[in-house]
Amino acid sequence: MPSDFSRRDFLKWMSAGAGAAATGGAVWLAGRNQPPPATATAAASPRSSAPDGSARPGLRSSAPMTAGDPAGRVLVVIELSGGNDGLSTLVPYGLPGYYDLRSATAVAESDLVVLDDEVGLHGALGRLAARGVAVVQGVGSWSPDGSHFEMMRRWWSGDNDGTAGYPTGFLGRLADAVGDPAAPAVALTIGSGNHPALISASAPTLALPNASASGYLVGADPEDVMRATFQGSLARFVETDADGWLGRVRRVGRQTISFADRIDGIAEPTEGDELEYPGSNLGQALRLTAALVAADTGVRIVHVPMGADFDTHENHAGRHPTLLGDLDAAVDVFLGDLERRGLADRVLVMTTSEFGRRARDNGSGGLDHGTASMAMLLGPVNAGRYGAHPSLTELDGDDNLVATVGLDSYYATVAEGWFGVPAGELFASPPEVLGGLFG
Amino acid sequence: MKERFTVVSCAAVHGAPMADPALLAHVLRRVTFGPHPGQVEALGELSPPELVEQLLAAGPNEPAEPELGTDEDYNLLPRWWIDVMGDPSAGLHERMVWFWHGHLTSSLGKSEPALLLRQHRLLRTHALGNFRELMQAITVDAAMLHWLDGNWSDASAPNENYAREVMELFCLGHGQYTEADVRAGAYLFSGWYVDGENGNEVTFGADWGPAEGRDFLGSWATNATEAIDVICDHPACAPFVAGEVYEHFVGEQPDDTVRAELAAAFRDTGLDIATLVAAVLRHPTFLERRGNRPRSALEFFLAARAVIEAPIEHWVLYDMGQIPFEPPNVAGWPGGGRWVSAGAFFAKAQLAWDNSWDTVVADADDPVGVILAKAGLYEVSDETRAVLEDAAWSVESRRDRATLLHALVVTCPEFSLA
Repeated sequence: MPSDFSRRDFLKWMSAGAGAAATGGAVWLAGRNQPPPATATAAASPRSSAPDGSARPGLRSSAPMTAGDPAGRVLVVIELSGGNDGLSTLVPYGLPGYYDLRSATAVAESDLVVLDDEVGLHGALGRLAARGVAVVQGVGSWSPDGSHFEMMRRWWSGDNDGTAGYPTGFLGRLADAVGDPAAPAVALTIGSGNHPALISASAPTLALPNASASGYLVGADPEDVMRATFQGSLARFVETDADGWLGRVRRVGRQTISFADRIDGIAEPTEGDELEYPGSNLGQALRLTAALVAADTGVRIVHVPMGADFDTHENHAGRHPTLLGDLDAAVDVFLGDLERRGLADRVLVMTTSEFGRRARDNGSGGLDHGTASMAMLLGPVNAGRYGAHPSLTELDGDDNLVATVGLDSYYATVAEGWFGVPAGELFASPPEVLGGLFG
Repeated sequence: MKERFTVVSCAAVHGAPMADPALLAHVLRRVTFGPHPGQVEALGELSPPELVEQLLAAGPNEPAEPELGTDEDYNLLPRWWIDVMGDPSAGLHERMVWFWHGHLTSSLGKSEPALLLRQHRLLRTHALGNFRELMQAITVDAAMLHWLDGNWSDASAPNENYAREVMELFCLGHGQYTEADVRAGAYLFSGWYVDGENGNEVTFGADWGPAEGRDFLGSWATNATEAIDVICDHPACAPFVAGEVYEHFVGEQPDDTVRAELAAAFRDTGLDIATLVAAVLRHPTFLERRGNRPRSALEFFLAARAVIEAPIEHWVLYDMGQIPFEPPNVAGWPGGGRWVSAGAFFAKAQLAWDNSWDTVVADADDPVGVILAKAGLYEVSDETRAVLEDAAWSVESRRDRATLLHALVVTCPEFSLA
């Protein structure tokens, strides 16, 4: 993507994407011939105050944050592994059927940050609600599957119905589209092992749990013969191409050393960091993410598996608020850190999760595997509700919610709106995009 | 009583030079957690198929169990098993316990150390036994009831977690069952609980278990035992499990012909695991497919610790993403390219640099040849050999030379392959 990508270009991308781009207000670009839902309100006209006139957080009506230069933009994808229950995150307290479905796990209206007379964000997300969240409702697959692994595979590859057979991951393709080919890493997953979502055709992508060990690979004082020889040998081990797994080990080794060179020293916490970020996996991963963005390492996409278990088959009501609370605390500190560093307009946060959970709770006080869920976007995005909330009274044959927004549509919306990458570059069959989230 | 696997007994018989040390090392890398330094040399001129037979014939190790009961249990348990797997006498049986722990996994994250140890005992008992008996036992294992939420599942609104995963991940594979089978299975598996009032004994409560039968996978079943029988009798079961065992040892899924052969041998013996494993290890592809997968973090850790001969703490396995009893999710540890990551490279360099202290190779005329053999690497690229040679002669002292060579041999690309 050219570095002088302008807002005009951006709008052109938007309109080229679906032929009916939204340049203001929220437009539901009817996917799969669904009628525009009555609930598709947007930032342009949010219900931002309560009937009594008091201000309500969540749907912020103030001017949205201006997005930064697209060439410097970063996408942070937080994966809520295990299957996050949409109905406990954006709670449809005012929609018919909710309290009938959920005898053990319903969230009371008093525990919500109410957004309007239909839905509210779970109170455990209070800090994020106060910042303003764009919620995309009903995200899922047109032909859902109950398997974690089948649905993770689809989400990771951006394959709505499981038939596209992409050899790459969605974030990997996005990295191919937006990355500087000379950067040591365009996309990064915060974790110990490579992630299928980041498999790319050409862009270098890496997996890293922390940055503290870079000094073992690079930066030896030449006077320190032992250390310098060790590091020099590591580099020489991997400098030549080879076939098969040997070649792969060497290639990743080269990328790692080159990336280590770029990030050496950044893991040193800036003043106050250690005090603010939660000690959770997510908190520490986001602390590293902020440091990476600030260091201008060429990383454009950071994938953060939350490292928590959203697979709440039992005791959902006890476990889920804790998970949301960790998300709320960690992302709030992260966004605050970005603001302090002057980076807030460059970083968009999005959530994913392989599926939502069953509409009815089970006898274990939990929720079995389901289908459609919801997703959240934070940062330079117009807060509001997007997409149609799934019906709570017309379920599918397996007692599941019916998706209203394809997972590929959700991805395409972010790809076009944030990076200006048209859906046609990323999907075999370009999905519809949602309007109104950006700009 | 079978003998434990030891290379000493082999060497006593075969004292002559080795025919193919690289192939022997391959067998030990895949079937044990070695090779440990000196093991390949001690095998003499034993042929690789003969080594396979020795490994198949060896009995299990029976390590003393850790004494649990303190706050340290959550660290003690994984550390104990890591040491057991790292023992040079750990052979095929230990490897199969590790395989089953990844396949029928459970986690300290949802149970407690004493119950994970109880499950571990179960896996040791059945590791090379009968698959049906293993599945019957694990279905009512306390840690599994915790992990997949069978605990207190009530037939009136049963929990689906175990029913789905026992078919998808443990026995049949994705696509071999319907959502109706998941619901029926959930009903049939209900009624069991871990009785915290009574030593965590697993108990069946008829009041909330299945009161009637269900159509399940095209058969009829009335309880958990019958449901497991239906699953084990399903035509997809033997081919699926055979493929998983084959992949563990051979590094890839079998082609259709091989899968059918293995499944037939497995099925014909009533799902005897030892028969299946023997068929996999005796299959020609086992010796042919070399270096076709990376070492997992645990495999790397144990091999590197054996080469460096230092008491390396297991904490590095947290950074590398593979701590026993703490799988990342219900499918255990994913394999393949996951282990060739930037994070793994960082962790390996750190482990190698922080722990290498030795002088054993310093006096040798060919220190690089010695260190490569110590690491079980008998076929390395010219590049790797050249780098080691240059490093060896770049430092003056014998101690520094030995330190560098140990640190470098475990970080060379070939050492990262299984």
